[in-house]
Amino acid sequence: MRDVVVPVIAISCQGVSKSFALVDKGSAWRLAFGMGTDVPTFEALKDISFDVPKGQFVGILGKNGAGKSTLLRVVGGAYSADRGRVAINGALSAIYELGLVGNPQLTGRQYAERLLTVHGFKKSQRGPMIADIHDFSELGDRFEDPVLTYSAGMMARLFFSTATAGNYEVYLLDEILSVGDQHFQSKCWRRLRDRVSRGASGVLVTHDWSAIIKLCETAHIIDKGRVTYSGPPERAARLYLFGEVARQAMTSGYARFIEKPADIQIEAGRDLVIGARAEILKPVEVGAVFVIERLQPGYGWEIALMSRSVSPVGREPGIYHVNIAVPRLPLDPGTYQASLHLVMPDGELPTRRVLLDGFGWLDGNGITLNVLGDPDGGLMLPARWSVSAA
Amino acid sequence: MNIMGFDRRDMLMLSNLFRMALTDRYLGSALGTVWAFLSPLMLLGIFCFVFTFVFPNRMAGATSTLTFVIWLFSGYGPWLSISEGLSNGTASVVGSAGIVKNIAFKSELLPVVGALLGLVPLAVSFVLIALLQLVNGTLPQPAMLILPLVVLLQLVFVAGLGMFLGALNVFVRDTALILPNLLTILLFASPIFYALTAYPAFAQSVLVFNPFYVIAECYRDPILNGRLPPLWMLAYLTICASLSLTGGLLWFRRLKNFFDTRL
Repeated sequence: MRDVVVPVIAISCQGVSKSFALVDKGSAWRLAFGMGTDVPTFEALKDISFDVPKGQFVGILGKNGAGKSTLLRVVGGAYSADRGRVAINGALSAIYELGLVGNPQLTGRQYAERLLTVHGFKKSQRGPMIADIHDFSELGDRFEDPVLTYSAGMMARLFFSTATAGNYEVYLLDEILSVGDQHFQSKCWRRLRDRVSRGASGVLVTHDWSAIIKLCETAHIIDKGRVTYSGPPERAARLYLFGEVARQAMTSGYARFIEKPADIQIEAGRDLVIGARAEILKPVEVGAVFVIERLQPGYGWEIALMSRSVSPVGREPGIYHVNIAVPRLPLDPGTYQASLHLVMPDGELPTRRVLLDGFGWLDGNGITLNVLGDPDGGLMLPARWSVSAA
Repeated sequence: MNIMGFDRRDMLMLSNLFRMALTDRYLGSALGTVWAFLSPLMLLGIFCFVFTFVFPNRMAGATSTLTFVIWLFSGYGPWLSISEGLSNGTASVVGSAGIVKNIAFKSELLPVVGALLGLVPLAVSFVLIALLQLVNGTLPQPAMLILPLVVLLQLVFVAGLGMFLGALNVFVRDTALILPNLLTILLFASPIFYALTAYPAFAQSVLVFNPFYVIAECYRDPILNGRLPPLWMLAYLTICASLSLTGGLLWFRRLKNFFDTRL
């Protein structure tokens, strides 16, 4: 009976609330002896619900103190929820914070051994896992030194290697990927993608929006213990960065675009031309900037093309045509986001630019650029492109 | 299978935690695990010296120095085990804050681990007593077969108290600081260094129900006299242990929901 495909839920979190009693010296006694019903509480999580489908990572963005880590601990069972229900389907590995569990005199090897033991791995399973941890963490000879001599980055390496050594089905990760050097971070990403491609699921809690875009297909923003947004990660990132305004600060009254260019579909290697009409309202030196970014859930975020300097549009009031031309578009097939903005130099700081108007994914009105073609087609370099105005 | 809310996985966790606690306690010191044996040995040696050379007339109804030393060890050894278990149990939750916050497991196992750590000084005392009895020419008695039951009752009793103190210590950190003094008072209030008959008559009738004294007696009777401890003592100890464990568990499970605010 494998005809009907029901999306399997890996983590289900329904109506979870969690409050902490605000305990001081006086109320500690009362609490201990059962008279603490009137102890003031702080509600860290308020009625949080989300599901993580099997084979997906869900990102949770939030500012410091928004309740992200508390939520992760409740999901992992280290904290008990006051109300609500959490169900986890599969073997769980959790990294809540880079706090030490146990004695810092332990060597890296003993420490890894201990974490694995606590997670219930048998002696026969631990041997090869320790070897894998030693190898993946790249700690080398330092693996035999006490962990109290480790730097924060080394500790993070040991932690991540140990937490992902087993083939778990569900991962709970807290900020872990923002620690460690770039080399190790990229290894972590590879390993996580590998696990996801084998059907692992998880929750990634972070305040690093690009990490969410790299790994997650769905993201939630939590603020003051509530989920304030659920949806695609790029929108979550925009909301997280700029809040409800959802637009970068623009100075109006100097220049504006008359209409928004349509979304574009183009074959890789063809010439890309985008035209837009702009109107200059006051006599200032208006320029245009153009960026193409790749922003793909599960792939990441990167700038694909960027005009290096501001292309002048005009100085006098009037209607101008802004034309963007990228000959033989040097991009892999995929979905990209194009941003086009009108800027003027800042009166006080000439190197800074003042945004006047524009389109971009960060403003919620980006131009989607679909590049079609053979994924193994290769690219023609060098490429040049120009932005001109008339 | 589920006993008092614990299942097989918890038992596995218990054994892992016990091994972790054992290594943690003695790791980083030069002699390592040797201290686990040396420190009870030294304490026993000190008391042995004090009561045989400094106050020789305080010997409690013993015929020779050797028999007194055996009498002393068979009461003081279990006490060392109890006090070790209680202090470890009290410090267990706060001391393992990292595990409590980061790993989903039943934290009521921690005071149990604390009580189990008391087995180390107990084992050392048993070995010493066996050696001394060998020197004395006494053969092991069949009544000693009751000792595992006594050890079990003692562990359950101490684990229950440890749950109470360990959870309390999360909220009132003074608990762990007062405990050593309390233990000293308790030691001298229990007929462990002296025979019960050394106390005034009115005190005797109360002290005979001191669980710590009852535990010591349950060890002494089989070891020294080769006879089973009085049945009422075993029954009384069983009741004490059950009450301590159920009370401790209830107390601990009520408070552990608030641990996250204090750790």
